[in-house]
Amino acid sequence: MSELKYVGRPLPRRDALKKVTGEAVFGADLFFPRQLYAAVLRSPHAHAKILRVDTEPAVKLPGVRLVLTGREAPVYYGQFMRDQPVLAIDRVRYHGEPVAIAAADSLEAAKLAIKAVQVEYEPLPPVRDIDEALAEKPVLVHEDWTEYKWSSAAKPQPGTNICDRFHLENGDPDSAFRTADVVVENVYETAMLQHATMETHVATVLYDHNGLTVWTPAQSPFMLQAQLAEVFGLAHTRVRLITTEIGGAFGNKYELRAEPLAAILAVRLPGRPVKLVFERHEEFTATGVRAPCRIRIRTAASKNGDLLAQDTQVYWDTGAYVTTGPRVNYNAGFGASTPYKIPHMRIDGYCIVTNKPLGTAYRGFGATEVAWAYENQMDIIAEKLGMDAAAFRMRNLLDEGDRSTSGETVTQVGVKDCLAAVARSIGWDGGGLRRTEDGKLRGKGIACFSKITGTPSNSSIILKMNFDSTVTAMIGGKEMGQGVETIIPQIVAEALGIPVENVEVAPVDTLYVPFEKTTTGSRLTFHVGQAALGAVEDMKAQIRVIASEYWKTDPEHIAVEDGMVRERSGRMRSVPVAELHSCGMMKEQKPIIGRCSLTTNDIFAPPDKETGVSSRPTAMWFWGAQAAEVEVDPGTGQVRILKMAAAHDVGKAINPANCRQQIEGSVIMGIGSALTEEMIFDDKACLRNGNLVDFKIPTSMDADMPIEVTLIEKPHPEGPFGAKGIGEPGLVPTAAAIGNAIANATGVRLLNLPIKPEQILKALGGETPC
Amino acid sequence: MLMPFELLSPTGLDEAVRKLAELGDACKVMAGGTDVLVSMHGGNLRPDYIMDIKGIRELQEPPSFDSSGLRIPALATHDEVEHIPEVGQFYTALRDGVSRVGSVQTRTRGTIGGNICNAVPSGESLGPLLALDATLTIYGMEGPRTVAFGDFFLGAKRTVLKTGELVTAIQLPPPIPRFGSAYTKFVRRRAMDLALLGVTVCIGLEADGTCGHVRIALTTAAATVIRAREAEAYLAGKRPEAAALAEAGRLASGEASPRSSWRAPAEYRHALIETLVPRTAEKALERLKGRETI
Repeated sequence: MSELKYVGRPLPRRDALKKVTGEAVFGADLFFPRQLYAAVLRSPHAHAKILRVDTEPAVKLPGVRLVLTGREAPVYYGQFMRDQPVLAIDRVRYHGEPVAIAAADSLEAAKLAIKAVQVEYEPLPPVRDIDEALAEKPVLVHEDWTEYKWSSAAKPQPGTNICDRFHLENGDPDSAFRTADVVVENVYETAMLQHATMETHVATVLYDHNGLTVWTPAQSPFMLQAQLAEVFGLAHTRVRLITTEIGGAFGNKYELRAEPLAAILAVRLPGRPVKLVFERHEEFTATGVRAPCRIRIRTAASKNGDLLAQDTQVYWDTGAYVTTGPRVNYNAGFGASTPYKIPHMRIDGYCIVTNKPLGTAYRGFGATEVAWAYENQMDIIAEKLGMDAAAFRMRNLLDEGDRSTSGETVTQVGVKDCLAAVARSIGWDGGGLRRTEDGKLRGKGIACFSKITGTPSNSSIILKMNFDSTVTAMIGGKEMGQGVETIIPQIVAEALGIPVENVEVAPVDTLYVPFEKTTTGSRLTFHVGQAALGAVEDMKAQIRVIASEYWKTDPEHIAVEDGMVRERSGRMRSVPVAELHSCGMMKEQKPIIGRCSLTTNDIFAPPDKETGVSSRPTAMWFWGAQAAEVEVDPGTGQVRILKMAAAHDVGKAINPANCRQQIEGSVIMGIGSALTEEMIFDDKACLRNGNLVDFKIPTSMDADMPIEVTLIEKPHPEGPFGAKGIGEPGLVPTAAAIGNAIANATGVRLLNLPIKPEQILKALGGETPC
Repeated sequence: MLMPFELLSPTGLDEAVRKLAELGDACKVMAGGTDVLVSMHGGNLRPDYIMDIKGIRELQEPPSFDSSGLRIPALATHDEVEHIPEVGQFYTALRDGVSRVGSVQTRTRGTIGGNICNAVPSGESLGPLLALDATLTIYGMEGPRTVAFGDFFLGAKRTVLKTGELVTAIQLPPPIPRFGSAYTKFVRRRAMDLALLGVTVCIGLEADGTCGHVRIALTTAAATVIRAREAEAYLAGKRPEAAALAEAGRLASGEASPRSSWRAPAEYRHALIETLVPRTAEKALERLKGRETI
């Protein structure tokens, strides 16, 4: 292949300008003629019986069109288990669960209507955490799993609050622990987090002779289409999702949220679009969260520094309904396989329901939480062995041809290069307590990780050549700030040899675009990019046919290469692909429509039913390393991050600027989860801090440290131009790198996230002089 | 969302206080709106009337500095107060305070009068104003009156303001020689956050290098902003050396009565006072250097 023209170039993101100028149209910006406004009455209790709901006073109010309760509209949904009522029926299971919904001519009337609804509750003891959920004879959040329909992805345990189990075992961990020189066991916890996207959830739903039309900022519109079709008993042809601009998703716009609520009103109010916009407190209590997690982990190593065995038990407080918990559990399970060579491995994961907000996908899909645990373990073991933390990791990291702990012989493994790069960036010197002149404590920490993407999955693309030789790409993968609308044109333009500005991505509307499983797991560049290359080949074949017609020669004699259509013999005529239209070649010819569908089902090796071991669990592994340098104030416990370094094996950076942005954004998000973010509940399992003052995401002033990014490129044999993905990976090792740096600076190790200054101060015990 | 309300925009002070007295609790006074509108959007406040006082003629005076000290109009925004030259020169603790409110946006919108009247324990200007011996000018149906800053607050969100009264100005006493002041805001994040704890220290040194005038104010350490009087008394007459400052910190911590809440445990706030009183005092002393005269 000749030199790349667009792939590998830091082109500006196509969605940037419209988003900063305010031109982008978000769901909340939509207003339709005859539109109605919806408002939701939500449970003030985490767990209660609904004894009585009286909507009569609400219905009488001016402008109110309809008020519904769960009894009147009994509809259940759920990705893996259909356990979640759109409106609670007889029982509420979390603080903020929808109890009634109103549609009215104005938002004000709708809000007044839900205030007028009278509900009588009988509070029940809430299941507040994992311990209560797993206690002997626990209160059951769902009394009988068999009442629900579920898919094989969920493995509910009858008579318990456990809604899913994961198990992976390789080698003989028990024997290895018995004979190991060093064994370290700890329990780690991570707090509940909210995605805190700028845009809250929103949906406008119209029901008319076409069926359901839903305007929504959905990450995975086809998945939601299928679920809405099932819930409302409609054919897929009669459920249309028109995606609006996404103002931040990070996994929280992956599942149904506002859509079914607006839809149960809309189906009863035909011809009237019903619009529902969540307020911030609703976003916190009643959308999705990163489930809190407890990880008990035991790690064994030999005297000479070889990792021998690891036993990881992951407990997810997945909240009141199953939603995507099993998927998080699964991805975390494979995440816990680590980027290290560990011959004996056992990983168990449990999804546990409680009366709390709903755990869902959150950038990293569980890999972050387990990395927090195993990367602390690596530091502790290295210290016990008297080894340098980086050297110890380097000795044990996977390399070409090694067998991963989950059972794959891995190739194109860039993780050692990543570790070397961040060690260089952060000036790794083995750490060691350092004190500044004004008494602050400085330290450095590093962390590595591995992560899978959702496999198997499927993908498709249609490339339509317009009659001016420009190309419109139709995909079902959704732009959500990660850059797909920029990346796909780069790939198409490169492969077809036309200017990148001649390629546009069409809006995602399920009525027109081809199928895409989901926009999650950092998967679009790899999957849609591959499909794009296939579709370009399809276009080239069609171009050869019309060129042969035009030049009256055999298609065999036509080549499409380097952006030119060339006759290889005879008169050796040629025309640029970008100028096909100008010579009249396309006139009255078959329109050129490239098409490609693909699946990763063919490469996927389903995990063994007994052991969970798989020779190919993922289409691609993400590998990387990050490092942090911190300064701790021993007088207050406050942590300042001085520098972050990140190196990720991206396969090939299609757009290096975009890769860097994704990593920087992830690092900043990770700082929040490491130091300040947590959802805090009262003793009745009701959320205390459901607002952006008290749930403390980092501001730009908290993210003023330099972030040095290195992109390692070990081409993936199946990736487009070798590319993998980078949407999530930057988050995965961030908290662990920071935690290790704090431990390095202070000499005390805190096992729970976030690490708050009061905990550091307490751990220092006033012993460290200022 | 904002529920409907009637907006009043008086242009005269007498007209404003008359209307306020008439409407009572149904009317909420608004200046910058950075607290009022947030409460309304959150559904915690639903007044029938909002009185926007930004258009009142008599409240448009600029800050003035003369032999009686500095007079700051209540409608001055945090950003405006931060940039009053005398605030940067003589009343640096106040500059520290107003410069750390919320974000750039809230500082150019929110007013110092609003910060005072909102009367939350974490208000950024409150500690500095208390420690700088401010007095407030209040205007009501009976005309103007003045109240010492320390007498203004009755509790969290409660003040001595009567129905129909407005705070119109803040008066700071004239600067004294060999004086320095500083405010430290302790937060979990560096912008858009409320003070987990605030410490203000003002120190005026005697000719012999001992502390003469001492004021220590604590923010978010009790239901309202408080003075740490034992710590002040302890420092008075002593040289401001490390051991003395540390002891002042311990005493101040003992005088505070912070609550344990989900935002932070009380013991942590006590520990912060111990650390931050001496540090803030050192910052005040640093600023005092070279200030032999005014």
